[in-house]
Amino acid sequence: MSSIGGRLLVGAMLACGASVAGAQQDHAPGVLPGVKFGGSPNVKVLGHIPLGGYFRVMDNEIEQEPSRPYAYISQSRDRPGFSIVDLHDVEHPKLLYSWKIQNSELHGGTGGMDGKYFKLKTKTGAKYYYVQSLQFGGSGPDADLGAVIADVTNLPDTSKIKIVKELRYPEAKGGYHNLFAYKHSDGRVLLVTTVSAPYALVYDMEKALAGDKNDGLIAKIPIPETENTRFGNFGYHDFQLFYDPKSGQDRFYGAGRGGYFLYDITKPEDPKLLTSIVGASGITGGHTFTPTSRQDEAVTEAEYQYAPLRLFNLVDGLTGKLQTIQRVDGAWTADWHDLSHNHEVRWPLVFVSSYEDGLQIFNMVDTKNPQTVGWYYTCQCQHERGFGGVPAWEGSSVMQGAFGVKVRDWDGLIIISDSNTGFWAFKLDGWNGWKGSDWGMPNVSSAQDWDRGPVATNGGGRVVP
Amino acid sequence: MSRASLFIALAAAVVPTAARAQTSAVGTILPGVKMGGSANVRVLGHLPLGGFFRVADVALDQETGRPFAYAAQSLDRSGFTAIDVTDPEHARVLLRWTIDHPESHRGLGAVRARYFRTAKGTFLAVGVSFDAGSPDADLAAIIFDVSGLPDTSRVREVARIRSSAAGGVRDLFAYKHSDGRPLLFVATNAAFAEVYDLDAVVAGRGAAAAVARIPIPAFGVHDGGGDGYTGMFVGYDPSTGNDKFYGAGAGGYFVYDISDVAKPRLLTSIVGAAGVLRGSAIIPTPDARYAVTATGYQYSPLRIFDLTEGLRGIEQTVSRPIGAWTADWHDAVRSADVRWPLAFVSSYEDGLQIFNMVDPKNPVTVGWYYTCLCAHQTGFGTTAAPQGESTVNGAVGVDVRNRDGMIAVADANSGLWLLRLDGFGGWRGEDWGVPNVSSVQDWSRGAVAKPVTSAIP
Repeated sequence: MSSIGGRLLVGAMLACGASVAGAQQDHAPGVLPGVKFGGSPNVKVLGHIPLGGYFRVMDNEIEQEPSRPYAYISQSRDRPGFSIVDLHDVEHPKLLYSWKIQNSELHGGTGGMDGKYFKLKTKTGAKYYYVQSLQFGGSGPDADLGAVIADVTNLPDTSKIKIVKELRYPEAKGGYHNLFAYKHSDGRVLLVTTVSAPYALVYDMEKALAGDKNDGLIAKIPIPETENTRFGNFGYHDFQLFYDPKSGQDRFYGAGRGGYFLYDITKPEDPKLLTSIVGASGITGGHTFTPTSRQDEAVTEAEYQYAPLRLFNLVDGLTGKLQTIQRVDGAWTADWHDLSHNHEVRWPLVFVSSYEDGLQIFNMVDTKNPQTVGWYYTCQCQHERGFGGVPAWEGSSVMQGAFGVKVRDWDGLIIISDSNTGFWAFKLDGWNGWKGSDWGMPNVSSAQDWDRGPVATNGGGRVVP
Repeated sequence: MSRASLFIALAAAVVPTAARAQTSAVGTILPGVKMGGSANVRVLGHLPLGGFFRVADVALDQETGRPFAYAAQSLDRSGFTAIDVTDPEHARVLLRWTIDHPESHRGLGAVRARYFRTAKGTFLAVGVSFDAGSPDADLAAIIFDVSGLPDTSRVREVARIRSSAAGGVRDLFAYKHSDGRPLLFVATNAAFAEVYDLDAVVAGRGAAAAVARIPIPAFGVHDGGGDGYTGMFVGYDPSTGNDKFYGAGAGGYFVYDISDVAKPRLLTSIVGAAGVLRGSAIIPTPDARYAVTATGYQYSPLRIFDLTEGLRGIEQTVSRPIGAWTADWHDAVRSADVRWPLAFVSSYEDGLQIFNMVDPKNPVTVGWYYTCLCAHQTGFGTTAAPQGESTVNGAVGVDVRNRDGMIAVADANSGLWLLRLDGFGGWRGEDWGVPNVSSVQDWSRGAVAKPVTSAIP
């Protein structure tokens, strides 16, 4: 057969393949060829605000008190800083305020990456703050700047927003990639940040804002040495902190070089490693590590194309039966060709910012067999046109689209920050909020009870004076 | 009903509708067990060979007049079975050979079957893997003269190859080098592949038969998987005139020029690809441009890499796949046999799978047959307790007979399967405008500068 004949046969086989493979292959709904659009019938778009286009948007945050309907969006590229969205009318969200670093055009790196809000009691009343992580590379202006803290107490009056504190760490330049604000069971408000070093930094926010000479830096949480160095200078990439009512421990769930690490930080100044997930097939470094409310299971992300979110059972590690956990309990992906990013667990649901696959929601009531229950494609992008690194930005990876996700517990509002298309607000039919007790679970999620702290939230005594 | 349980019930009811548009639909008869296949794949024959993990690999004799298949068998059947496939619908066992005292051996047993031909006849190399401390822990391969088949009385063992590394063999590859020598590449736990001159092996020249070692670059991978190669392919590249060795193992994948096999020269590598700490198989396309690679672990697809920039020295190593394929992302994939533009895949729980890679960035499934007949995650555990909870189960080996396109699958559970893909009546590279390079060797003529496939019987 000639080569032309060969091509004809290839064509015939391709045509044949398309029909026979249809029963097996995934098909996303599409309007433009190759671009995923729309969503499942049970996910409703409430609002959408474009915020500058391709990779001007990173992670997000939402305030949890009904009287403070505000969301925060980390911004990057030529907008390094953050924006605040007013959600008084969730069907008509509006951009309230934007801040960016002075002389932004002189700054390298990725800019604003992650943000968290927190609340402090002061002599003059409650004050609300938003802390924005920043990364301006290892050299150039503000290379040592990790975060800025803005006083946002008087929202929606934006004239009174003020940057009240900068957190710098000249010992390891490159800024802070992620951070987490946590109400510790001892009453302190802690801010934990990544840094380009093999540990995480722990700040006491009250001290930091009171002018402490060490900026309130009270502890470092180490990352154990492993064979893998995929994350380079980074120790941790990301982490979350949760109170465990059963053990009475405050716990740090860190993902980074080598895998996933769980510490008891009841005394933050003396962290104790409880267990780890190291050596699981396909995992040389962890990206995100999120436990369920009961903290017997965790959802993990490894941040490379084709990798699903993996679910691990932590029990054998926590009880000491296993030195480290390696066996995956279950896994989920929206589309195995792609990659899922951050996630928020509200058992039995997991809300995922799934890059090219937008908002995805899966049910993990059966951890061995998680099932997708809703989705909305926010990226509206072509496959593999994602982040290519700075300063080029545009590349051919699958890292684009839904970057951050948050859930407002009191009403179930879901927000997505999409790197390309901006801010989105959603509602899942039948999902009107989350309280752990409604599900027979501890009331533990990324949302903090800034007034009462985690012990009272879970039925214990009031520890915060 | 509590609010929680009501919600779960509602969610469970909604999920199948909402999720169905996104997730794969697989034909099932028994709940959770994949059955049947695509309309274009027909079963010719099936031969059970002992049940759970008694089968590890299959090789089809490619010669006209030798309608035989060889199955490597494991555990209490450690050895091989020769099968007459003259009439594929009535395939029959000709010979079953088991190692002496299998009950005293510990380990997988026979894991590979490769046939080869020399001037002295046709031979079968059976790769074995016995645990450290077991009898024959240092045994890598047993060579049988199978020239006399179907007369089984003339089958005889002619040599044993022992390894310096305990734990036996991981892979074998028999190759007719462009210098005319038939060579056997043996991968063990050692940090190299040992190369044997098969003329010397069958002549009983013992240690003199070992002619070279192909090293694996040290990348400090200490995941318990050993230091050596796990999968190999050797092929001639007519565009460069090189014999090339493709090795998968600790650290990734490595391509060597072995035109002078005693002086292997690293050409390029695939190292640092996300999710690839260790390679388990690498199979190049006939033009040596693309490589289909496996990692062997659950949730990991076959990845396709373009080797061009690595071979040209533009990139120090190749680290970005250009495409990927999986039958079902929940599962694992064993290996593939490429007959451009098709790849025939031994896909563990997903049985035989066939995909078209004419567009390597977007490979498309074109056929399948579920041979495992097994429940998900009931696969191999350990050699001491074989029945475990992994996805390592089902189709573990695949071979394609080039002269007529017959496909053989070795299924760890269900035995030997003979299948046919509609419209695929055989394979010759020139029919596809590519070099006539596949796992099949031209034992008479060997690799020549411009392979002439008409010489292949």
